[in-house]
Amino acid sequence: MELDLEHELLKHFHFSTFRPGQKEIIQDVLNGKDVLGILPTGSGKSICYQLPAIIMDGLTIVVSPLISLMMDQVKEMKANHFKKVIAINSFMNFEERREIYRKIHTYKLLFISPELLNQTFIIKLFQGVKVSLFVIDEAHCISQWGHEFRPDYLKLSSIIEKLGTPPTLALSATATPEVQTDIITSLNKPKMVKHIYPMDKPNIAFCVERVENDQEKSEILIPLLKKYKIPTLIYFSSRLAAENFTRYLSENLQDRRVGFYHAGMEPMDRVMIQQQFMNNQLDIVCCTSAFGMGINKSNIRLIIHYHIPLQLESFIQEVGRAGRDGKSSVSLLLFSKSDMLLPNNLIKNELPDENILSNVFRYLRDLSLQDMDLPNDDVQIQNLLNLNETQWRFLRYQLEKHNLINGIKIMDYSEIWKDIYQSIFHVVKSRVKLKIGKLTEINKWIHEDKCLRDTLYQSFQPVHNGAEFQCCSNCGFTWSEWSPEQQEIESSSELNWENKLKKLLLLDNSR
Amino acid sequence: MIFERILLDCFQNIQAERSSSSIYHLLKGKRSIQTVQDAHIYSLDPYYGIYKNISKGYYDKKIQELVKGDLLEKVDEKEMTHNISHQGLVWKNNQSYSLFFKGLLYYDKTDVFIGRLLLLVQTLTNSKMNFYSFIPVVNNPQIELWVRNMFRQVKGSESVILQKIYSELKLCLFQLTEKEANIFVDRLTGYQSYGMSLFQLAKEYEMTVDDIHLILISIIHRILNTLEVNSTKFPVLSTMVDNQSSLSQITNSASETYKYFLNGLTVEQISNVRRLKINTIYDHLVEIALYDDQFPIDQYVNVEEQNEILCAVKRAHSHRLKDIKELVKNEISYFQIRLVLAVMNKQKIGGN
Repeated sequence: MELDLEHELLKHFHFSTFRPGQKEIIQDVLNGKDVLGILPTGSGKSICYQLPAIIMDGLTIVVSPLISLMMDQVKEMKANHFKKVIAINSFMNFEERREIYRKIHTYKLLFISPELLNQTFIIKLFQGVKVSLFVIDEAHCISQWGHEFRPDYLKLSSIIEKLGTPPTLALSATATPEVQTDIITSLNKPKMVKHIYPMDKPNIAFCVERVENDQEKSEILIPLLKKYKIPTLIYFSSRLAAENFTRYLSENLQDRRVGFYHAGMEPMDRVMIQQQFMNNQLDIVCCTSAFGMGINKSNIRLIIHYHIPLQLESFIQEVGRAGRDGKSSVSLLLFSKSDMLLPNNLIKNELPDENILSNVFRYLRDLSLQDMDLPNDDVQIQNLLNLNETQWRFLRYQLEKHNLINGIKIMDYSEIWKDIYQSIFHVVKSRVKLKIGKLTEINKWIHEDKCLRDTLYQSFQPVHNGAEFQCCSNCGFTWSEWSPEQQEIESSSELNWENKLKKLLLLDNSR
Repeated sequence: MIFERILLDCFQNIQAERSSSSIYHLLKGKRSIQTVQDAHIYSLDPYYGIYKNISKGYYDKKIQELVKGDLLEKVDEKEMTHNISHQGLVWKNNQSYSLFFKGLLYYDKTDVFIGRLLLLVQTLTNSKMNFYSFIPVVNNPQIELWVRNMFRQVKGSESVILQKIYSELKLCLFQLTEKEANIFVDRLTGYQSYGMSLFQLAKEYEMTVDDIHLILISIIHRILNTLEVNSTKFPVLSTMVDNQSSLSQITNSASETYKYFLNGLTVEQISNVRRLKINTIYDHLVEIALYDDQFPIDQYVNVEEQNEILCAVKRAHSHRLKDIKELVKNEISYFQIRLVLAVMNKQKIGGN
């Protein structure tokens, strides 16, 4: 029986047509093929597994790298009346997990982190149900050469086998040809069908402004934001900077509603800010890279980078959140020379340096000589050795790979340890080099004289569609020619709390 | 300035008899016997668990600030103790704004009540407008379940319930200042109108984020108190209160011990059955003594010894166990002193 996919799409998601790539991918998935899908940000990647999950019998498992991303997706699906969805994460308490295990047969779609998926009891749980589709979201995390390498993604191919080799769908928004090859090799699926769609955004103009210092950034932004009353995102590389600039903006832009968003906020506050922005209760959000994933706002007009991202991949993703409705939108990146210091430090902090590494080895050697195990608690180890989460995750993976540790067991101390140390140290050096290389790439792009659109996309795809409106600051972009539709801002009438409460509870007679 | 004032209150009460981090545990509401008992001993039970989200790093930074501002002074570097300074006392006494808290008593009830209220209001207003694709501001399976059940019962009569919530909330909010009532209302989420984040409220009302948080907690405690006194006047809001017995405030492990205790097992027997150290069982008994009015203290400390301990407390001018122990005869154990302190403080609170 031929399924009418358009009908299913309308029925479950209230869209009448597919966006480019969706239908092709879904058809191949439903036919049991393994698929690699590269779809640009904002093109509705998640429909590619959500719809098959609804249609197919059994369970669809989605591996996703970020808990916040999973939670957002679950919330959004539930809001769209798809209730048979769940995210398992390591923060759940015993009771909550037991409830999920008990009800595992009732779910159609399950999100999980790669780390949790490597646990034996989780595999056992999934072996008891029919897994109809295995999805790897943000599949570029598989690649050593990807910008967000996550070691646990490398173990996915053996997990897929343990689950009876269900059809596999790997999805990413950014993947250079070499990363694509890496994904296919690592999953050990040479016959994967590739669906690669261009990521360029013809409706976005690219603007780079070089300045001397932060003061100049403010001098550019205040008049600009005064002129344009449009939904705007401003990206910062630190939480504090986002908070401080929010304060600054609200003092200098009286008639604009400004908020900030970062991963350090309370969950309730995060939902409130996200939804206020969705709901046009907020005009400008100052945020870190934590904001935006899973945000489906179609009329974001302006994306400003107050700080540079660590690589072009992130930049392309963040910029891709503008103008999903196809209308003319602008990306503005502000750059001053001192901005390069911060990312350099960020990169170095992500990985253990020589000091940390020898510290960790000394600690392990002492434990090993005393015939002791590692503590069972990763956080305890991190605190003991003064490591951050990323550093320890990296080290644990490397140490396990060399069999120096296995769970909490430590290998007997011997001469091999020196070789292992050298080999890990080598990996650290090449990772740092790779990251610095990525940073150099974006730095080079910022200082480019040629067309910014051409040079931005050239390493990701052979050709692009060109600009639909203005192109870029190197091709003569001028603000005076950009006049997006201005947003009406409701003036909040000053009500006393009784009337506010009445209005909120829908008891005022105006309705 | 509310947060600073509360911190200074705490330091003033513990008189450097405990380390600074004990106050961090108190505000965070750590479920340990030591913390709960400290709350009673130093009459800081109103502040127990009123700042569950605070991080140690932030707390330490705050303490440093207070020391730098000469409101707090270091007492002992090694024991990490601080005390309120003379300047701190003067400053604190000049703060006129004071808040109502019942932290220990409403430890479990606070989050449940506000979670249910927020989510129910969001659900009812959206459903009244036939809008079912909203993102819930509360993300807690138990609260979701409660709201879902409630919603099933009242579906179709949203307006009636909303009207009732309005009049009941109005009665509660009238007891607050204008500013407080506004803060509370601005935090609520309705149909296509999401509530304000703590930072937004802080900006709007020109206060710190800490103080906004504490004001919201205080308002919830006041509402809970109002509902407790006169639940018949507030039929809808009262359903949102989670009415578990006060014994549920005991830590999980202690309540397990409590079951054996009620069955008449001795400390040694419980220790055997539960495979826990005798000292751990002692800890549990002290905790149980704090909550159980019928606790048979005489079984563990005879009346004579009780009096001796009480005298020592008075003479020592301190609740520091070491100081008290030095003033009583050798046979009296730390466990017995702690039991007496626990019961003594309970009576003090009951008498107030």
